[in-house]
Amino acid sequence: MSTDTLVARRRPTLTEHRAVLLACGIVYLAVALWFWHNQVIPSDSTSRLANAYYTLFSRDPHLAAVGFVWNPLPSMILLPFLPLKVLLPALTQQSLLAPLVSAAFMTATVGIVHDLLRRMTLTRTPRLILTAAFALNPMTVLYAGNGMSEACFLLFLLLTTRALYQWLTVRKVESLVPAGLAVALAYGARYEALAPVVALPVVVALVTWLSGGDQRRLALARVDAVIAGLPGVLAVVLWAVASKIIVDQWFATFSSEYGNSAQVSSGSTGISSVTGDDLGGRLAYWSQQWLGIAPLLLVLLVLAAILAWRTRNPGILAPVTILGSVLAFDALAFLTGMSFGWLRFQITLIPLGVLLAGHVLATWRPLGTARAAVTLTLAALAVPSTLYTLTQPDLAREESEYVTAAGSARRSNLFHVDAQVAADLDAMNLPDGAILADAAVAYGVILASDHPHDYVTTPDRDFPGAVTDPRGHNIRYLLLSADAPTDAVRTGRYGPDAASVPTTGVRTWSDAYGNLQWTLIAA
Amino acid sequence: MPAEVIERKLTAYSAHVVLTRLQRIGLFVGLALLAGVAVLRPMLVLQVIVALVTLCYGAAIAFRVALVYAAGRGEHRVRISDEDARAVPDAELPVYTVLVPAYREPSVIGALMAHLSALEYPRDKLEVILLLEPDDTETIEAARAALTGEHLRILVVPESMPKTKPKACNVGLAEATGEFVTIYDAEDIPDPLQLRRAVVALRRLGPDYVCLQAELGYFNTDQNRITRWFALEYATWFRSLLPGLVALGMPVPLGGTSNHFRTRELRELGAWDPYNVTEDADLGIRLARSGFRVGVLESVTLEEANSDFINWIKQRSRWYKGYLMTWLVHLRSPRATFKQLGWRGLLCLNLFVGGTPLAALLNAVLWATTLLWFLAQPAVMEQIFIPPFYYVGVFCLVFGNATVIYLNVLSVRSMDRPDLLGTALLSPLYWAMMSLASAKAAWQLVFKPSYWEKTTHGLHLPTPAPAASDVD
Repeated sequence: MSTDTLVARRRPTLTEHRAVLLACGIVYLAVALWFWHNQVIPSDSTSRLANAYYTLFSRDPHLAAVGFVWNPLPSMILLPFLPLKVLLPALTQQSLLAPLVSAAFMTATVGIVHDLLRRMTLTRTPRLILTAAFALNPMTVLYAGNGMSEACFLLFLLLTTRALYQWLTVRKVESLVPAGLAVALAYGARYEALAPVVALPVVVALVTWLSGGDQRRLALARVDAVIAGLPGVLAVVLWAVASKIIVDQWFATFSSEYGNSAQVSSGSTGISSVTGDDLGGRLAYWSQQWLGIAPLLLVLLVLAAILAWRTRNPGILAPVTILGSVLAFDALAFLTGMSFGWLRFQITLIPLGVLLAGHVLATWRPLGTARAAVTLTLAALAVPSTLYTLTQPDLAREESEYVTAAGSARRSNLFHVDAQVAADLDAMNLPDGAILADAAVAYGVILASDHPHDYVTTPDRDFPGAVTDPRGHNIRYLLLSADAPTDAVRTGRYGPDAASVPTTGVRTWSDAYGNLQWTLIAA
Repeated sequence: MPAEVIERKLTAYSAHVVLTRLQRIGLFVGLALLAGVAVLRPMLVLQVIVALVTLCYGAAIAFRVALVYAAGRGEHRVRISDEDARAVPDAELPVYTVLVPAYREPSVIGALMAHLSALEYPRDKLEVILLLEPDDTETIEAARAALTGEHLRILVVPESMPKTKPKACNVGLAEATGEFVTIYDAEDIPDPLQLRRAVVALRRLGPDYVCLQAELGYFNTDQNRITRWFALEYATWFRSLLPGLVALGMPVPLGGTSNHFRTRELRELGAWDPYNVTEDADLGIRLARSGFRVGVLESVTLEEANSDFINWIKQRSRWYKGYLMTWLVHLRSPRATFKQLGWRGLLCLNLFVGGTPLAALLNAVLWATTLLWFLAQPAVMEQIFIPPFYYVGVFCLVFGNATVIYLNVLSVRSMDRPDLLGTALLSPLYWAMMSLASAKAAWQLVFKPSYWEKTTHGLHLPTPAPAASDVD
């Protein structure tokens, strides 16, 4: 084949690819601006942004200020953009940067899905329909625009999936390198990536071992497993070691008082009131979520598996291994009572369904219009189904906070309170390091402040000392949350019982419903 | 053209003097200034040194990754199939000169004859010149006894200083009658079709290409851990790093043997610098400065991997010293170098030629620093490593080392030698050996610049029984 025909063939898909990226970019940007404009950016997005912010603009700027409770990549990636706050203060003060970046990540993710469908040799119409089934799924759209780490996580998972797919179908060892690197980055984004970090080298080793003919196949399988697995294992080990050195905990998300485990245990009553606290109840809840956002995934999975077996096409292993292992990890964590069971923990179902459908279309022969239509419908049904699920506050406990009117009013109200606290404290013209506040609860206030140096906060290296002896550290005021269980400043002074917090301090701030949110007391 | 005439052409770039007067003055003034500032602001000087070292080190690692990446995108080695190599009728083949410099290696002469006779090249078009030193009567006698065939001859290099391999090669080149010329070491086992492949390749590539470097590998890879490390290193070097340089249009430092030249251009260029202890690397840079291109030929010459620790250190320190010399020689007139090589060439010269030995040297210092930090946590170190450079440093320490180990694992796969996985993962121990060699190299560069550390060959052979004799 001459280069000319190659170019001629490539060009339409390239134009199509750019069009897909452009369209998604515009839609997601609009969604991001909507989240920002309505001030319903989730608190987790704001807190990840704040973690990045501390490393550059806190009173004690240092890289370790990014914190060890949450995996660092979603915050680290924001670092180069933070200085732009000089031009556009809303980027940090109103958390605008978080949704802008998640929109960019999700656009790239759609690009990868589209490219993967092209590599599966799908023709234009099914390729575009399936790309749209992913890109326009309400969960995808929400998490593109709300600044959460889901977009970043999905991007790296899909990059891993694409590379693994490439390796499974072409078997060039070079493809294992991007697979290994991408899964390491996925771990940088979210600890759930532990599952694919393990699953990737295991599957690679198995495939190499099964397809090798001679006695060296074990040795070859070992090398391939190391190539695919080393970066991920390194990411896990390094993050653990850095965490151990700096905060003396190997896996802070599981052991820290601010970490996931602590949050789950302190919120366990709340969680089980919705999800049930026995295995049966949880299983039922979890299945409802699953069926809600991917109602016919199992049908697609069975169909794809049969076709993969019949055509001896191992490509299907890529999405099943990578996306499936994340699902399995989250399912296991939830069913054993170690997770909140948020709906977003099931988000990998969406690309998984689309890629399974892609695989079915690529391998079902002869593929008549009817078969194609059935497959596409199976995949596309997830869109209306997800839309319905998101409006169910029981199943979509977080998401309903910004897609329902009452929820978004609550969220934007908290946003306003934080901004008001920041403005009032700024107006007091305090010297640097005069206010003691726990970053785990006061991130919104610190981000919104014009004088972030006023605060002595958790990542500062003198924070523990300041909590035990505020006056000795020139602290003038303590900023206390009303009832957050993880507020070290409040519990350090008044113990774990929220009722003992004074309701009359130097100042207090309440939300629009009259609930006390913040109390400022003299040190 | 006699050897002296050839050599005269490279006077400006000879390592006869390692530092020119201007370089010496520059170095002296620089050190004096540094000492002056160090007295007034010692912390500032330390911080600046740490910052510069960190940045250079980071750049050298990034460069390495870029080379491997570039090499992986497309084919950058010249591949000539067996059929194509054999398709050229004997009558159309040019005369080919093979130079074989040897010193005190009587035991490998027999094997040499066997390997040379395996070369598929018409004998009437082949000229093999065995280059021996007058004081090496043992090898001369062994060669005389073993020599068979019109195309083979012994050339005893006239006594003159310096007595080095490049010197001998220049003498051989002066008498060469071939249109093409190559060098093999006495213990080499070249691919029998290599000469034919080189002819076809050079004719295909055209006059811009005056040299092809064939890949070097080892016949005794499995002798011990050192030889396994060495084989892995060579695989990375010849299959990733050199093709990467080719891909990025950068100068290619040649390896010691199996480089195939157009004879006329080589003479015009001044051939090998007898004072440079890695005359091959230097020649690669000079080829690039003259606007010529070098290709990497897919054809393996098997050599003997150095299996003995002391011997390995000697050989490696000579290489490192040579790389440092070459680096200094080509920085004599930076402006001319920049004009001739462009920024790409300058990058290669600094990050690859100078960078390889310097990184090996710095490794030891930086690891010691890291260890010191974990053992004692001296407060002064927090002052010396200021944040941005501290982070770059940590990044290099962790990701730099991990990356190079990872690249070695990839080499294991591309060599199709999965049994070397453990060797790849243990590479840091090999780097410790490199650090030792680089320290020796730096010391020698200052005190014994032209001293040639001779590598002992034949260590893979079983020790002969006392009664037996190599030569009858």
